[in-house]
Amino acid sequence: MKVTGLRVSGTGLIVDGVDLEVSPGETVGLVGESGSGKSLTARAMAGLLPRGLRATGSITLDGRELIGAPERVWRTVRGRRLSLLMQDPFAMLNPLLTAGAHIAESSRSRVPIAERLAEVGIDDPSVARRHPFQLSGGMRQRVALAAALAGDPELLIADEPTTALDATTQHEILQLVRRVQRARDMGVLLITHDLRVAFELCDRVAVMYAGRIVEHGPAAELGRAAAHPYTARLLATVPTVERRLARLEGIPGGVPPAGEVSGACAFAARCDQAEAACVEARPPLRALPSGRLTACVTQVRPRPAPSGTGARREAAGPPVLRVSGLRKAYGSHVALGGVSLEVRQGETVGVVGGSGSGKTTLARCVLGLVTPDSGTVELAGDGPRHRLVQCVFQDPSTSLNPAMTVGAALAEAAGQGAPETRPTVAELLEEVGLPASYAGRRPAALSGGERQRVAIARALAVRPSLLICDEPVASLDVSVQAHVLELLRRIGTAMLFITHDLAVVRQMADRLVVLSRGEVVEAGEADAVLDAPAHDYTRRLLRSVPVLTDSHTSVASASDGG
Amino acid sequence: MRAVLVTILGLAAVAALTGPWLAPYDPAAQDLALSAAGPSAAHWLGTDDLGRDVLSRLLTGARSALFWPVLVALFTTVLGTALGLVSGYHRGWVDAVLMRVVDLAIAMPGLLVLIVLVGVLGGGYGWAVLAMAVLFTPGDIRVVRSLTLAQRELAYAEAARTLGLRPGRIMFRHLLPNLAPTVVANALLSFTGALVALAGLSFLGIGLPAGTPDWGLMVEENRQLLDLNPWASIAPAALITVVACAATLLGDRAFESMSKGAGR
Repeated sequence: MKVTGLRVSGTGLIVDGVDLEVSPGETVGLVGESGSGKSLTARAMAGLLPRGLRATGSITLDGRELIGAPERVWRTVRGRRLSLLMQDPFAMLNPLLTAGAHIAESSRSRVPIAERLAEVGIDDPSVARRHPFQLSGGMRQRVALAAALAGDPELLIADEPTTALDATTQHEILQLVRRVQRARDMGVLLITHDLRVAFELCDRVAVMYAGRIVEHGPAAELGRAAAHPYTARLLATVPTVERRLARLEGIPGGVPPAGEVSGACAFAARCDQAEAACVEARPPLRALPSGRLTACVTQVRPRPAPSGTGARREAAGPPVLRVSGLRKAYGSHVALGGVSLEVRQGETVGVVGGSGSGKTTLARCVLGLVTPDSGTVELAGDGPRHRLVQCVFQDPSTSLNPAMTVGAALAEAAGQGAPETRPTVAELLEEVGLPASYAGRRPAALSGGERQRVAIARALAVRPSLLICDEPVASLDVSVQAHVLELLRRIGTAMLFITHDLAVVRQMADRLVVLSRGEVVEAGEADAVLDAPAHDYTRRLLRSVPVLTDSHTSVASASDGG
Repeated sequence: MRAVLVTILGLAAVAALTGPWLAPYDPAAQDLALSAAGPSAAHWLGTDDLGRDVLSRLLTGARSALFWPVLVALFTTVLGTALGLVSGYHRGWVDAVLMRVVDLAIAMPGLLVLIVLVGVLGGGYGWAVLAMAVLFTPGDIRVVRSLTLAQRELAYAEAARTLGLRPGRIMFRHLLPNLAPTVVANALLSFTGALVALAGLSFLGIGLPAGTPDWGLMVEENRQLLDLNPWASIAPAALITVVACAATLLGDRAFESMSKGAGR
């Protein structure tokens, strides 16, 4: 499939001149943050643009022009020539159809369903008779992949196929896609916001920014040294699992709308190497040696590698939280099987584990949203629980009331705290680095990172002695993740930091608790646990973290068994 | 489109408020010499069989035609929303009891209950309005309850509980604004339902004494004049239809634009 000069526009320009080519047997990554236009590019390539959007330019499959083609033509292409794999397999599978029915529906040949399942690593043929809700997230994504492959497509477009999955499952699915792609000699276009994922899987990577491709090249080359300042900054913002960095660096500012920067370099406003030439004309993609393309007029200045390790913090005063023997079961499912842990003043305790490990149930028990079956939660200090412990939730787009202004939400939260320590809305906004004028805005008028800052300010409004962070950056773009993590580091309140991302927890935690199936399998100093994991489960978690160094290639091929 | 709908309902409201003063004639004044006359300069919509001015009777009748439905809509919306929120938020036994009552009320054939009630008890619209309010509320309760069940699980409601806010505040300050599109649409639907149901009762000759200037009653009483002065019954029928359609369509539009606004 070949895309030339693709433009997508609705009320404004969204995708501005994308050239892309995927050949059989090749995996191409399209990487970008939210607002970069990567998903709409993929949808345009499948002829599935939402209503009100229009694509121009050229999309050809084996030389056949598809832009402007009637739906009838697209129907002969989708499913047979190209297939889509989407982010959320639960939303993509029909809850009323069994796994087998999904596969049979898109199948054109008489290949038995058990064989189709075996191809995606499901050896148990009884899975075919189960419904989506009876399967785990990883299984659902496997079934979705089997259904996408059932039409024997030549090109698979995978749009964030592993974002909704935890690290170990993510790794397995990526390996699976790679294996299937090789076996079938199929083309794969992988859309992702995660550079690490793109490098793990792809032969070539194209980096999108504000509706255009700013850099394009072989994955290995690109990972070694970026040829565009945006890629360089993006690589620098990816947290590393190997050591704790002294400072986490994000990219200031936000992505501009494609229409506003069509006559200039889109990244110029956020670039520390910008020159006058950058805003006068749009830099074309120019060729570099070894098959690379960049849309930057200058050579990227090498950035100094983030120096040293973060200073270890002096732990710790008296405990602010003591959890002992906490048990909670939902029916026959044991969410927590006797968890004990302690958080002392001034320290951050990381809680890691895959989905279903019980980490969120633990948070909800401490917050008082769930009553444990047995065990105790002790919080130091007097007063009602809501003044002692507060929470930053995963997704700020749902954790803030869309109908309330920022100011009203913060004032309400502050009103729940003790009168003698009550901060004003302006003080709270300042603490999280937002201008006081934001008080009048509603969440919808803020970016994802700004919303999470507001959510942090709300949690701090009662001056709690313990802050629970439940995957606080999981729904944010990499370039703003660093800002939010750095902000949380500065706060200094004792923290229970829940995440599935070991790289994030390395940056945040002083001590670490590893949960698996509701039990603590390992606990200790964060550095000690991550440098020399003692438990098998921890080692498996660590292995599944995609790494951003030369070693990523070796990781990618090491465990082809899935 | 929206402007047109608002204008229609605005004009109806003006007529309801100032109708008796706008009317060129006394709605009860008879002129038997001019019985069932067609439209003329003096009588724009003609007269009925007793020579009463149709336009004056329409303007005077606007008040009762619109006031009672507004009352029904207010009552059902306030009560239905409040009970739906409480039921969906607290669940437990409150919810269980309330839902059985709702099931019972929804199982009743509405119009039949009205006819029997008003037919037996008489006394104008009073009973009819009360009965309608009671019959319409359960539908609102159910809709609001089901939305509350979904909203209370969202992270913002959880965040509000984490802050230790009282249930009343969470329900009415946090959840309610997010249900606003549905509440507004519900209110307009109740209004339409009541408007049409009351006109139906009048048309069946139940409720109001003969001769009262009322839209539904006029449709019925002037039916025999269709060949002499068709306007005498078509005009009130058209008014009922136009107002009912305008209210329903406005409810639709309000729902769409408000939910879009909340989503963004």
